[in-house]
Amino acid sequence: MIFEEVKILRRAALAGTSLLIFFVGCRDLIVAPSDQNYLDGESNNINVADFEQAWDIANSVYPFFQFKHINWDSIHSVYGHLAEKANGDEMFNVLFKMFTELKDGHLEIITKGGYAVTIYLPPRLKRDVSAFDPHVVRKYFTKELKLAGDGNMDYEILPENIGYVRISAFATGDWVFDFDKILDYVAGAKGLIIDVRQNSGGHGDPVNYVVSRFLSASLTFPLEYYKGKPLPNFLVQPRGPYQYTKPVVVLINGVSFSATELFATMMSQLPNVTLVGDTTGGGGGNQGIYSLPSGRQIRISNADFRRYDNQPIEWNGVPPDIVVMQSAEDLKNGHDLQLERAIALLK
Amino acid sequence: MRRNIYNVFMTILLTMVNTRALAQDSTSIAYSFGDGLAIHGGVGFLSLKDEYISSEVYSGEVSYFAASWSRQNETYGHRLWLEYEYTAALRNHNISTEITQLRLGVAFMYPIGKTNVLSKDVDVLFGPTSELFFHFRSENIANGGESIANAYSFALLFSGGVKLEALCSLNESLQLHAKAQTSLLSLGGRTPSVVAAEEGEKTESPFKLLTVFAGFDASGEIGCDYKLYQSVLIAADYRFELTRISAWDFFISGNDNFILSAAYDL
Repeated sequence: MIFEEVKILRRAALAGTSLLIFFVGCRDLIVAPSDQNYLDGESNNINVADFEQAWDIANSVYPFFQFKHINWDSIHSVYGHLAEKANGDEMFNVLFKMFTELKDGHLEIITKGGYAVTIYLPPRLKRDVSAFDPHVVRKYFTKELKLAGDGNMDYEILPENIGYVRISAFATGDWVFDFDKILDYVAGAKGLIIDVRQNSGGHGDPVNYVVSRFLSASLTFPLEYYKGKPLPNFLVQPRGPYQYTKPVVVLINGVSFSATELFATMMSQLPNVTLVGDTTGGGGGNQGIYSLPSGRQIRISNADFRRYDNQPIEWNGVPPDIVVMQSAEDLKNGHDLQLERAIALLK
Repeated sequence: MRRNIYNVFMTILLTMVNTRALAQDSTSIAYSFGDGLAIHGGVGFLSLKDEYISSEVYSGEVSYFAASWSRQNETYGHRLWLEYEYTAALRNHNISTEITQLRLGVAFMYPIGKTNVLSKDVDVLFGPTSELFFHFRSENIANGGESIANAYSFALLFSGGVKLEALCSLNESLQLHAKAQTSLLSLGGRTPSVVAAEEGEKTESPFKLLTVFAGFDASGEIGCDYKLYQSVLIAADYRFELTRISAWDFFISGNDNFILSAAYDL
């Protein structure tokens, strides 16, 4: 009887081992390595093909090489070798390192499915990531702030009879139409605070929509250079049943970025507007998305927006009229110094 | 139509487990169901391809922990399990990724008969199962950059399926067992892709109802258990898991685990 069981166990062990080898083999067979590693044709390495395409795209569209004193040809010779040596997804790191040389907050590497990873955080943006807290802002109000614009804006009137609206993003969409209702709500107040701190940008259309309510005459949209040449001027016209001409303070900081910097520089042209806070992040490009042979994509600046003094917004940012620095420590102590200064100005 | 599919399925199944099964007394319980609370620990090897991130395969070691509850009633038994797998050692060349996987499942096992393998009686159990599978991946592709956040992706399957178990008692203490489970219909979830559309870009729906062809989750297990005392059972298993989702960016993962378990019959 025992002999029979040992025999069965031995057979079971043999069957088990065979199955195990089968399944272990299966795992590597089923989860097969990429068949994309090599392409047909002259450039047979997908990573080298990705590198060449990425380098070419930047070479033909990126507007800030001269401004940033970058020799893009020398970048090719350094990172081309790394791309040749890169295996599989090591190429992500080669692209990251190459594009980090541009020190551009608009640059992103996008995975095959569409996840965008930002490559570089500009210094002021990095510094001010924790320099704003909406919970601290709420302490200055006696009423709960109202939400509008699909959650992109909140607003209320401060106890000092000053209107306050925070715009958290300039995304495309219908949300911005609610700004007109907000303006009606705060119209009776002494002045208005527009808070675009921590607004990392979006698109030009909602920026124009908001700005146009403050214009008494047409305003030239910030100049855009494409491949070294300025594009034709574009005028933003006054819009709406009335123009808001009472005193306005726009709150900005290092996380006010990209389209928000266009907003800040446009608003700075108006006589009733004061910018308070700290210089914006310095992202003056217009992003374009470009595909690479592997299915990865890159998002890179292809235009250079200028301030009204013709200096690039890139790196320079838009400076405030009144500098008020603010740290996470101030917020921890319950003080929003920038908002306090804005209230003091409009009181 | 549905009835025909059921008939074909049952015929294939019963042919597989031997036609003799039909003649057996299905309620006689000569096997150990492993009643009680069990804990499981093991190590394994995971291979993964997730085209939301890239077409590259990542592979490496993975740790396996689980707890389960089993109870045999007069006519059927049920099993409830929670599995946790984690690794930060999955690599594609010099790039690593971090994976967390969870499985929460329940199965109702009905004895459907006996068959004979290697001149030993083998009890066969079969029944419906439901499992929630969750996979989370955080990709370390920003090593050289100053990224705000790493890329991540997730996959989720809430499945209804079937489970088959074969239990072969060699003597009063020692038993061989084999288990296989497959999903049939699932509610799937996935990091939605950004795809080109007429007006720029749009994001896919993150949830879809999936047939077995679009969302498949299966596992197989072989091992033996030994009754140490009347209420304590120990077991050693090899387990293979395969998950394939093609309704979004292609996802496939396969892993082998070597598992040691201890069960206490409360």
